[in-house]
Amino acid sequence: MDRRNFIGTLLASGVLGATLPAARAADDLFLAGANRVLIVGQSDQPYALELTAQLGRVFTAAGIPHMQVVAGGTELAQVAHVIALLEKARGGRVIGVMDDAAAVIFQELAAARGGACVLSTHHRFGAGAVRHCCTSATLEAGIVWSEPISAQAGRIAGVYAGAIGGRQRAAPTVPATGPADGGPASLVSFLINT
Amino acid sequence: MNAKRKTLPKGIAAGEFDKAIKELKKILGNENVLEDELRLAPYNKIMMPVPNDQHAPSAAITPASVEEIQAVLKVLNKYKIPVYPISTGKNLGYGSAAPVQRGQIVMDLRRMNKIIEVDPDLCTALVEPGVTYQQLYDYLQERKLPLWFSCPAPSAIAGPLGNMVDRGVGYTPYGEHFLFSCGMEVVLANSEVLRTGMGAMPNSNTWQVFKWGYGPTLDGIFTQSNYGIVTKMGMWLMPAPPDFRPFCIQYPNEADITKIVDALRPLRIAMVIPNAVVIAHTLWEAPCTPVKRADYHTGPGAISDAAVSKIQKDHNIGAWNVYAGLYGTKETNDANWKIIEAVAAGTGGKIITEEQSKGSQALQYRFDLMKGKPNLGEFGLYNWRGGGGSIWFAPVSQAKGSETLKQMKTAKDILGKYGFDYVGEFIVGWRDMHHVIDLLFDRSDDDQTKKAYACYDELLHTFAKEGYGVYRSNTAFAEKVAATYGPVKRSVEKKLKKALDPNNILAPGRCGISL
Ligand SMILES: Cc1cc2nc3c(=O)[nH]c(=O)nc-3n(C[C@H](O)[C@H](O)[C@H](O)COP(=O)(O)OP(=O)(O)OC[C@H]3O[C@@H](n4cnc5c(N)ncnc54)[C@H](O)[C@@H]3O)c2cc1C
Repeated sequence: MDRRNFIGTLLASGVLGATLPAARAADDLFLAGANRVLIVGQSDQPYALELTAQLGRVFTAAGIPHMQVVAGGTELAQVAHVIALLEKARGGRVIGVMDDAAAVIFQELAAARGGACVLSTHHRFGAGAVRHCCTSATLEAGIVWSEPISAQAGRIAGVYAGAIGGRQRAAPTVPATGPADGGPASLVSFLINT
Repeated sequence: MNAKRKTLPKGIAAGEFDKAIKELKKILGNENVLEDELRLAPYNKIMMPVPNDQHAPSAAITPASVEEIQAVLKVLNKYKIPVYPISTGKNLGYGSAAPVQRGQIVMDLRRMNKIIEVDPDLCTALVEPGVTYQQLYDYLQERKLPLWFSCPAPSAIAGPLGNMVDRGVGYTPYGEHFLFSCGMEVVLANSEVLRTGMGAMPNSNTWQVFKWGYGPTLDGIFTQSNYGIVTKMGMWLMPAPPDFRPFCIQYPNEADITKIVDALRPLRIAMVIPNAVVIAHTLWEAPCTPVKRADYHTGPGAISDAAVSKIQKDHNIGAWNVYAGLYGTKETNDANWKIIEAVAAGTGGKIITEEQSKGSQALQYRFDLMKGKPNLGEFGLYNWRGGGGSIWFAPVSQAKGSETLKQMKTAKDILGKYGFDYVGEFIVGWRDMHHVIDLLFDRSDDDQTKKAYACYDELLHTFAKEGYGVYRSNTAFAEKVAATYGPVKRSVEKKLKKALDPNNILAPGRCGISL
């Protein structure tokens, strides 16, 4: 079973309703840790779930305390729901992986509470490839690169791990080509200091 | 100079800026003067087709009182440093919370968020800039006050004061927000505090009920301008009607817009339909339904008419979708409903009532907006193209069918030439219409971003040539839009600026006004 099907199955079974199992063990640590990260993935967007899971794996390997939650697009358009998520992340960081509409709402609600979006990446999917455009308040220009979808979101997860670890982000070496317009899906991921 | 500082106001030396910042910190406290790039990030998300650094702030400050604003302005006058006031800062598609010109300090008034008074008898409210519509809604609900307000589509996160000073619109009978505001408190550039209308008189209790006061009415000059910082606003609330009957009428053809407008205008002017009627195109409804563009169109260029027709069929969406409501008693609404049915039948429209709309996201958020219930349903627009680029092109039109078709066709042709879709709606005021088009583009794609800029430019100038002006504009085009209104108006605005803000410290460039 490939990962997408696997996550789909978990979703259908309700296992992912609130918290991904890989992260559950980290809950206590998460709530106590100062450097904790809440990862919010949009449950009705397969790539968002894939990236969320990949982030979890990379953070676990890097020893970064984190917790993963998933929410549907409808929930992410509700102020009360988003504020509850921001409350959960209060004093720490939150990474969101969601569609464009949900991302604007999330970022604007965070901004109204003084949260700063440190890093934001737009992902555009074409046939077999995904183009990432990563912008940050501290970067003069955005970093753009493309990679096969089969690259399983590893590089982008690494960028976020680097940002959280405070390490210098290296621009990916893969040439900036790939789907520019009309790719079938568009997603946003971002890192906010709450 | 602070080593981390990258952006300074035009013409201000780093040393002078540092001194000013030090003085501002003394007034506001360190935590309310933001200089760090990361903390400034929320003021730099512009969505417009120009580079972020054109609108990068040098700092942001968050005062909590009129007195603090007065003290801040003294410092800014001394150093001649420009400041850009925002209230809730959600002017998405018009420039967001970013300053109109690079280097201006953003004055974020979100900490001034008190609902000072709601009078349930007179149906009025007095609010500060940081109050959100959601906050006001919760306030009325908690106190079980049967009062409604009018709000714009992003109401749950935006606020009445910021919306009103930018002359925004909503969807209840009180939808023309400036018209239903009553009394402002304004801190002028010289730190004087002006209360408009009856508020100028000591001990007056009529500030929120009578707009005009004595002598010239000044309120208008503090909207879409930079002559003062508005710190309080009175607004009228609407008694919740005993019977509210929202409806949608769907029409199958783009050309139907002519007969729709001509049939509805008399009802709107006579106030049979008392709220701002919205006539939304298929491609406004689709993303909010939600429909995925990629299921109908991939590759570059604008979506084809054939694909749009298919969307209509597949998802039960009209070419035009008219939203309006009846507000009254059961008896008056029963009587008026017959008129609505007759108009729909006579024009080939299909009525969808609230009952029949159950389960439709697109209809539900509209019906909620028509009773002033905040929501974020319209943000679905951002998923249409993806990539976070959006600017509103919003020309005014007469409420005449022939005019609407002409505007729509012109806009669609220009948008199509640059590869963009016509995502538009008409909002019928009384005798006018705001023709609102969301120019959606992928901001992570340089080519699309450049095309979006050129497209807006062509829209603006083509419409201006035909005598159509826009009612509101994004900050990147403020100067160009102001130019379309001719030199005399601009010269009067400049004289006012000179008189009220001789050091040009209040948002220079906003709506094209500067010294
Ligand atoms: C999906 C979507 C739908 C939208 N639909 C609508 C709609 O239906 N109707 C509508 O009107 N808009 C609409 N908008 C545009 C916009 O989001 C709203 O108008 C919003 O209310 C403006 O933001 P705000 O209320 O936070 O005001 P702010 O951003 O705080 O203020 C707007 C501007 O007014 C000036 N200003 C603010 N406060 C002050 C002050 N105290 N003193 C002096 N000047 C000040 C500033 O120049 C500021 O940039 C929509 C946006 C989106 C994304």
